[in-house]
Amino acid sequence: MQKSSNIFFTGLLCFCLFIVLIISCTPGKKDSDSVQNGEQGTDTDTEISGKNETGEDVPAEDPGRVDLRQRTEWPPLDSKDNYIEWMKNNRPCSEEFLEKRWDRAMRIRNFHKETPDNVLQAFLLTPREIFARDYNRDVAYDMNWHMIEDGQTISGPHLVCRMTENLDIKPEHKVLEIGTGSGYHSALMTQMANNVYSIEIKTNLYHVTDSIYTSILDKYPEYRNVQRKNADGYYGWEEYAPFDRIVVTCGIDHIPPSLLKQLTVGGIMVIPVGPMAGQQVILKVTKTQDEEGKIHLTREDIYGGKITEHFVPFTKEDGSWHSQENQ
Amino acid sequence: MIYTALFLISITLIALELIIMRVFSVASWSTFGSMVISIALLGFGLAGTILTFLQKNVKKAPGKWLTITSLALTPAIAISYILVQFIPFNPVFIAFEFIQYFWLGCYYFLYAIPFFIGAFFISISFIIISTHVHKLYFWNMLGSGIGGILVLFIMYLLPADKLIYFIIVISSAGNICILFYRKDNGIPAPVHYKKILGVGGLLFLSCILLVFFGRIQPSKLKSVELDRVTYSDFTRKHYEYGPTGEIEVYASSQYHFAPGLSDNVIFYIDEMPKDVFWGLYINGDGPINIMGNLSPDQKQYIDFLPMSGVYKVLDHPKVLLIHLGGGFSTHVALHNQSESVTIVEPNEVFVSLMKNKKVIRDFNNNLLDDPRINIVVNEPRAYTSTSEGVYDLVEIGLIDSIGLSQRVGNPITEDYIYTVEAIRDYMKCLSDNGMIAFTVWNHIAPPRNVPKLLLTIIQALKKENIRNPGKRIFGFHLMYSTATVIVKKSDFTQSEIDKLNSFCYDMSFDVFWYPGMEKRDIDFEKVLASYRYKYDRQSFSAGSENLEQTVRRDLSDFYHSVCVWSFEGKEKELYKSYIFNIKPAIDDSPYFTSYMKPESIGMFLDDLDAVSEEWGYFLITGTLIQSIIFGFLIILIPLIGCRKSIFKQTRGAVGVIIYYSCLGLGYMLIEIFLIQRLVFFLANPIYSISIVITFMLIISGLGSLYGSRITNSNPARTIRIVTILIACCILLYIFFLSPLLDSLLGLPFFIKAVIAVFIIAPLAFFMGMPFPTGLSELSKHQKSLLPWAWGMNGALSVTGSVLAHVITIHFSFTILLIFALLLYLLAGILFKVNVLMERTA
Repeated sequence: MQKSSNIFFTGLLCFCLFIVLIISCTPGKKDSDSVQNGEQGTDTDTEISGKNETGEDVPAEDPGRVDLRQRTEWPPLDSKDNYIEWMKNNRPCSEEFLEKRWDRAMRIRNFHKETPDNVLQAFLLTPREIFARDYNRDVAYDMNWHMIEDGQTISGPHLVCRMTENLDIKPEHKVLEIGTGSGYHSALMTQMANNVYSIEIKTNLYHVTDSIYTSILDKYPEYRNVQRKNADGYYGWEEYAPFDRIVVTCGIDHIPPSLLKQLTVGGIMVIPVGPMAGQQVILKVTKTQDEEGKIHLTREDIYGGKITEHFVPFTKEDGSWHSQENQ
Repeated sequence: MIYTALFLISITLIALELIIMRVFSVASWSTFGSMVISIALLGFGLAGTILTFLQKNVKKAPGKWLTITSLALTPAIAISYILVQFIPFNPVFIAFEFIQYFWLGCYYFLYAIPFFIGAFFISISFIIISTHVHKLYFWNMLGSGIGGILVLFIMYLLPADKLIYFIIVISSAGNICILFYRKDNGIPAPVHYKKILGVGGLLFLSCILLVFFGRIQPSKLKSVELDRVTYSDFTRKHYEYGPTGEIEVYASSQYHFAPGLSDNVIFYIDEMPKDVFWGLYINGDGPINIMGNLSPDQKQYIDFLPMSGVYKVLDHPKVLLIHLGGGFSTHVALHNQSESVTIVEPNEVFVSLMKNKKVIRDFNNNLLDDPRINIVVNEPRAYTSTSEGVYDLVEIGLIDSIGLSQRVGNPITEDYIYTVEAIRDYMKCLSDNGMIAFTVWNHIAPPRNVPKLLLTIIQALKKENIRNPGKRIFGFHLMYSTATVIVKKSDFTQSEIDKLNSFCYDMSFDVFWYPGMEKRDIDFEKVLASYRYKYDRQSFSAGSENLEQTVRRDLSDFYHSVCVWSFEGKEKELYKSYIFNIKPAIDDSPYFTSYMKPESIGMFLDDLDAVSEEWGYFLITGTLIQSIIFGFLIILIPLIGCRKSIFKQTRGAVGVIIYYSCLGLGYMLIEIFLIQRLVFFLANPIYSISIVITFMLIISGLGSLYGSRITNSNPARTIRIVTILIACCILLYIFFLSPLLDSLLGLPFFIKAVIAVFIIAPLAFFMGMPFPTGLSELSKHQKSLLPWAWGMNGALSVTGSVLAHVITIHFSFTILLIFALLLYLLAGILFKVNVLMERTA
């Protein structure tokens, strides 16, 4: 009898504990609850702009703005020593990274011999280490991508150059970038085009990158040519449309019609396309007009149908990581 | 009392296994969970091995050992569970960071601890009550079987992070039971209140620790976590949990879904619809889009989707949609003036979510209340097999939007939607001029899924004795977006071909095949060779350097050539020449997403990034290799450690190894086969697995009990007969199971469940006999080997579960069954080794 009561007592104890646990986690179960995460997105322009005499968009009242068409001096591509010497004389730079930058540029050219000079020169002029974060600055010139804030990455140098090459940017072009990210790609394109517009959807990332840009404007006045805002890039930037070149740096399952509309005739868009949360391939879309006035949109794989790229790569919270080479 | 304790501990261990899998699904990815759990379960094997060394000590005070292991289990579960939450393991970096292997090892180690302790407890029970092995085995199997189904119901009551409490309560109940067992002096012990309070204290302490430190830490790389930081107005609208998983629905104005949208939409539509999508996440994976209520103007964009193409040639069709998803295809069908839309969805949770949840109903304007819509909760194949000649269109549109596009690549799971037999079923439920329309992602390079789909379709048409399949197929794609293949039950008319071509022209979709299309001038052999050259240059002779540069690899040409070669009967040449496995998927090997060829693995070793999508394949292969290595270690350690003291001679030991390995492997091969085949038959994924596992284990337990009665006189002869009966059952499965199940597919669930139990019963009953009978004989003649044999069986069971998948992926269910049959026959022959040990010792 005593044995039975013990069993009963123990069983009751366990049962009560179990019920308490169930009850403790029941509230809210299977209920619809609206939990607001984050704030409503707001469009935030960082520069106030206007039009110049030719109708071209320029940041207003910015005496430091650089017109690339006036630039006559470009970094030499003949030797490392000449390049380093030229950079020391002409650009604010950290000598520590110049050698790495040159080495990476040469690797880019060796790997893809058709890389144009202006892309390489833009690469050589852009201080990637500034846009990398503290925890991956030392490996900024490795060929893999690196982690930045909010699960995003700074793309590998080979990929950035290949995308830029496919954009075929000229100084007079207006370039729209969807996905500012670290700010590195827009900074590189600023060495090639007078007007670069960049949109970032993630509020926190936008502010971090904005502070980097703001902190280096004195040293690098050409970055005044970059206009940025925090918004959903799906709709482009109607205010400054059309754009000669559009580069999208985040994946989507279709080409946003608004962006196609905001692309000029003769314009080029480079965009990773694929399933949401999946793997994408990078497409080059060209908008042309034939003799009859019909508009044509042409899709090409920037790697000639040979490579699948993880465009929004797997990311981690801190530190760099070592992937295989992005071709 | 020891049987009750054993029963409860068995429930605990099986529940722990299932709950760890759930935690992995929620926190990171379930596929890695299966990898971890397979090693953790080797704790069973390890327990047997360790006990082989410790059995002298254990025999001196078995009650004490039982109490210690039992009491250690609850805190071990809680502590290992808590510590695991702090491991910064990140599966997506495993290919690149060595430290991830260390973290993975920590997972193995920590999760193996409770399994080891629980298995140690069971092993000791076998030593203590070696005269009643059959009875012990019965309670062990009963506990495992009931544990599986119990967890299923607990998942309705508790979210993932609370499930662990259920386990420790059951474990504590097992602890209390063992307090009443003391066999040291042969007399049941008096009740010790202090000990009961001690157990209560351990339970309380474990709960407190779990409350404060046991919160699941989801990976920041889960889709839902990434989207949370991406979308500034990410708002949770719905949350629920159950056996399907944790389901969340979020709203954001920044969701933009339009898979395969024609670029030409810009010439016709001013603005894409805004704020009309929500995202559905299951265990943090997704999103699956849920489409809201669209105004007539907004609906225009549907005309520019590839799924709309087939409606250009169908007038007010009766449509059958395979899977409901978020309702996207339903919108397309209704927008295109369908007379009726039948949606067959196996997961009732989705249906309930879309149909009954007010917040979703308000969002989609009660979409599913439309009088044209009929929802059927059933497995699509079960439904199509009973709906002959009814529909004008069977639409399968991007239903695998998660499956084929996970961040972590292609998971390899059974999929009976895209098999040759499935397409033949769909054909049967079409009206005379009906059509099937497939739309799939078209983003993998080198191409895999689209060629495989084409070959599967053409194979199905050939099996239907259609002489010229080319007259019944129309295929188009948009580069690196989607591909659509329309199959007609009769030949396409010229008018239909013209309308579809016109649609594709308007949309700038690239047509790669239509009836009457001229064969393109493509050197396809060279194209296929160029892919091989890219990844395997060493096997090419000098002079092939230009192969890669000179060959134009165009997706449209590739798909066209696949069609042409298949029409010309050159499929085998194609399968052989291409670097990936694009053989049609069949019901006997239903793995559509298995694209790797074993012979091609070597060529990708230097460039694994090129096949990163095939992550699922490498995971299964890796899991098999690791389980074989660990399994062998467990088997061999006692042989190496104390060969002289335990084994008086080697001959019998080798026989014991083979006998228990055969049983461990054979049982799991059959169990996995039955799960895979009957889950499809029962057509209810949530309940089917539980029904199959539970009844299989319980019936095997009953077989064990019955075996104790019939094996006493001449066990060797009895087991020989039993193994022959097992072989006969397997032969019956090989020849009659598939036709039988196919013919009964359309029956109601409950009737099918009863049939499934009857199908399982004879084989499971007989399979329950050889193992405990072997142990029983071994305990009589060479008792020291008992824990080792038990552990070996456990270790090989783990290997068997993975091996079963590998065999079906590369071969078929039939080969799997033949292999299992041979294993049991071999075991039947080798049974005498259990007796032989004594004679030769």
